[in-house]
Amino acid sequence: MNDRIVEVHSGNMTVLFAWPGALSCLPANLRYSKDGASALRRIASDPDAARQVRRFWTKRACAMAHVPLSDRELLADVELALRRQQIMVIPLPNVKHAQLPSNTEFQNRIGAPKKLTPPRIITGDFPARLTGTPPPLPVMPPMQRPVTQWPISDRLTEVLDRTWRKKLVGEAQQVLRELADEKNLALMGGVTAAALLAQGTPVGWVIDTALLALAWGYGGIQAVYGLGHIMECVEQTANATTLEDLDRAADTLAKAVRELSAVLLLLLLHKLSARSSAKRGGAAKSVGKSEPPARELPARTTTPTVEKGPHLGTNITPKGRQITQHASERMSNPGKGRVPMSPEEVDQVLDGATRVVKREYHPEGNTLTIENANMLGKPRVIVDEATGQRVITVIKNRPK
Amino acid sequence: MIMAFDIEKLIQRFVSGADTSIEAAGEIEVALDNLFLGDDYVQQTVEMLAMYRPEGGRFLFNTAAITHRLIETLDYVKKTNRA
Repeated sequence: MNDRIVEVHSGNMTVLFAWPGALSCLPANLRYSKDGASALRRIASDPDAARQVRRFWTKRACAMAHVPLSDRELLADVELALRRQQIMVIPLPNVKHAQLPSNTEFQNRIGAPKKLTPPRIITGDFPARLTGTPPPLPVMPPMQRPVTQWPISDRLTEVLDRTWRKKLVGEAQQVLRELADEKNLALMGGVTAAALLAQGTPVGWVIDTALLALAWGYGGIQAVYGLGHIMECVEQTANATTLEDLDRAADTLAKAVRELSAVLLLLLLHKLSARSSAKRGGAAKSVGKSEPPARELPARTTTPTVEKGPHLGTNITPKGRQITQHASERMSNPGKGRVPMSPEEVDQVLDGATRVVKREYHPEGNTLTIENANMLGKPRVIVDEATGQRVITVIKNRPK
Repeated sequence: MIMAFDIEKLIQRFVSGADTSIEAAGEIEVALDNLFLGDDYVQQTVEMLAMYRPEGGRFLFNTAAITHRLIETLDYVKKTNRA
């Protein structure tokens, strides 16, 4: 553990205190959760825990300035810093510091995933190719279509293939070879399918404090970084538009493999996958089996209707444009004063644009606001300038 | 004038942190859009509000970014004497 992160114990509670940037791999909802403040209040009544916090706090702040403060005053200072997002306070439930089981023990205990079946792999001999010594490069199947049209299983295969062949050597390479059998690929497929459903939003929602506690207990900060890198890889894979993007995802996965042991990697993937399935409810039952990957949903519907409920049920327009989760929610459940918009209408706006405005306000890149004034409600669709194919949000007025 | 006053109230409620929900941002978005249809600066704010999620995300704006923008927008609207 380094100076930037401190583990404080109070009763059976473990709380991580960290300075900004130390846990940037975690999703924001975990880094600045409301539970942090209640953990501080609990620590206020535990002098031993408060002493540990004082040690952490005075490393950064001027030590002299804080010596005369009572525990309560000190914790009030810390709480203020927490509110200003200057520090992170993450309570972890049931942290068990333990040795990892051996790979065989783990496999025997976990067994095959019950609710998931392997995603469809178009390179059908993929697992077979992973036995024995690696064949000479390159042996990738020709992928003629643009990456945006690849189903998630193909992207995942490509990322795993690139990672273990090109990014890793020695033991780490062996670790990923173990990962890349059909059973484990299914685990990762489950996680990635969840990410696909969450396109355009951080996929961090599948990480919660219980999972974080697991990673922390087994592998400390290194495992937490590894967890962050798995999620980053999943997000990069789901959002990839070019082979270079997939290569970047492979770089990220390679980092995760180096940071985690094989067993911990599998353990986390298993938990993540189970969590993703639970969050997706009934839909999880069909991941990789009867339900085609989201990108392979029928491209065209016969009537331009919008499904009721929080999501459209598809994340792609009939003409192949990608609809992010946020856009999907606004299209199906617009707020007061706005009206729903169908995927067909999105295509109509983009194909029949009467006005295009480039915006440079977003730090992640420029966007284009595209309006079709000939349509009822003068709908606007905002896409990223880089691809022009990713719908970030929509605005459709109630017709007057 | 009543509408402009409402906008100020809505924005203040958001920037004070009393209500930073997507619904609250949506109300501000619609109100600004209706009142400042031809104003490019305000229209940019409208678009940013349409890209708002409290936790942020890829190509989205989080609460801090929108709060900052709304404070500037309120200032702008007052300066241009339209509120």
